[in-house]
Amino acid sequence: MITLMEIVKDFAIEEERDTRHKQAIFLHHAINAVRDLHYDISGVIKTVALNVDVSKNICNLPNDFMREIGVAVIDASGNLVNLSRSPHKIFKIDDNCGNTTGGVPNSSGIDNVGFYYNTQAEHFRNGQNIGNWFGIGGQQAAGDYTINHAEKRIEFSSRTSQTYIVLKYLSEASQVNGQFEVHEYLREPIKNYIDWKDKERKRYVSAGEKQELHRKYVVSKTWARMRLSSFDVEEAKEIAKVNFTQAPKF
Amino acid sequence: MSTKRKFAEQLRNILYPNPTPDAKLDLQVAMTAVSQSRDEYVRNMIFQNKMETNIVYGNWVSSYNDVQIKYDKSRKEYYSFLPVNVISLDSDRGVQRVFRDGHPEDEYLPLPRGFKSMFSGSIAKSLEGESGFYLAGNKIIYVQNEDVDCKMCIDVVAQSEDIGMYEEFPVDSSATLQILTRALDIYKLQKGIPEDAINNGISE
Repeated sequence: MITLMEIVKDFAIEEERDTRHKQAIFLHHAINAVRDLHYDISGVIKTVALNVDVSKNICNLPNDFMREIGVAVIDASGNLVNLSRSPHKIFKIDDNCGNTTGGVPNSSGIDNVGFYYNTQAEHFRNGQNIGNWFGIGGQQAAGDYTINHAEKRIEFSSRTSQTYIVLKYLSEASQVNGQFEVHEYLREPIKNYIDWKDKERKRYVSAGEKQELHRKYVVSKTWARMRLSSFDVEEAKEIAKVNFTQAPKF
Repeated sequence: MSTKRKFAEQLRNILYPNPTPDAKLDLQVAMTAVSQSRDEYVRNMIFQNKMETNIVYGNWVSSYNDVQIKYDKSRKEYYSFLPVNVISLDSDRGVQRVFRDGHPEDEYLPLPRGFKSMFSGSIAKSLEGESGFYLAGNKIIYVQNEDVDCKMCIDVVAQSEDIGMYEEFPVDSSATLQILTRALDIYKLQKGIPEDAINNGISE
């Protein structure tokens, strides 16, 4: 691993700078480069166990949360059981007393396997229950959730009665001891990004040169992706041994 | 060691080989001419070289040690007065290096003047744990808290006016002729005036 400031200094040396002027701006570009690369090639999926506030059925998101990969609970056998994401659910509301309540009529019951369920999916028209909304609910999941980005929390349906959940998510590019640390393979793409961004808005730089700088960045990014995702012959053999049946692989 | 006075004397000797105390070009004026000529030369040279390199040649740099750190209560910021005013260059490169006494490897990061507000929403604001400063007039303002007991070392491209007549005058010897020529250009019109050979209180 290498710190971002080392890459910035490396770039400054190549630019034949003998002082540290403009390095703060280069650092700003470098951080943006890390983000860009993080989204595409170097982002690491984190897995954390989070406590659920059972009284409100919510769970606060980690500070470095960007996008969830999955939310699961652990069953009695120790296996992860995924919860289903419910994009139709209306976010819960915090009232003036600090209580979090459901934003919709929400009558709960217990089904024959012990799960709580809600009747939110039921479709009322003119006061008459005309069945369920098509496409909502009905799945065989241990519960469902929705991500409330505004409140930075996961909200669960009332039938999820778990005290903690396992969240897999794509995190923000993280700092270690106040410094970004990146893989050595990302050195060239980050330097090329700084070079491109530093000249992108300069009038005296020709459009052709700007395009060339951008192209250099994209090429180095592609190389970095190839290097990071490379694997050796033994790994290939292991993968080949895994499945000999015609069953679909997931 | 070359000093401003030496340059001024050389300039005066070229213009007035046998000057008297009431000569038109006294030493003070000659030193001003040399100063202006040098500053113009340095600035032009740095900007001309910028297309090829961002390096400011060390010949033009003056070093100062034991610079004190002070605290401005009303602005709530730590600062140091520059020992001399600096030539204005791009990215405020007039102040070349700033570091704590005994720690030249940990140079402070020069920052743009609007750093505090411009970078307020950026992660780069933390400067990855490094220290920084920006130039404001004859002061450098530190963007982090400092220990006022510490002393700073500062390298600058100094304005010639602020360099004492007996202090080291940072000039590359290969540029001496050009600087003197520029200074001579300022006063070459006076060369047409007869030399002040008699000390009679009149500048003939």
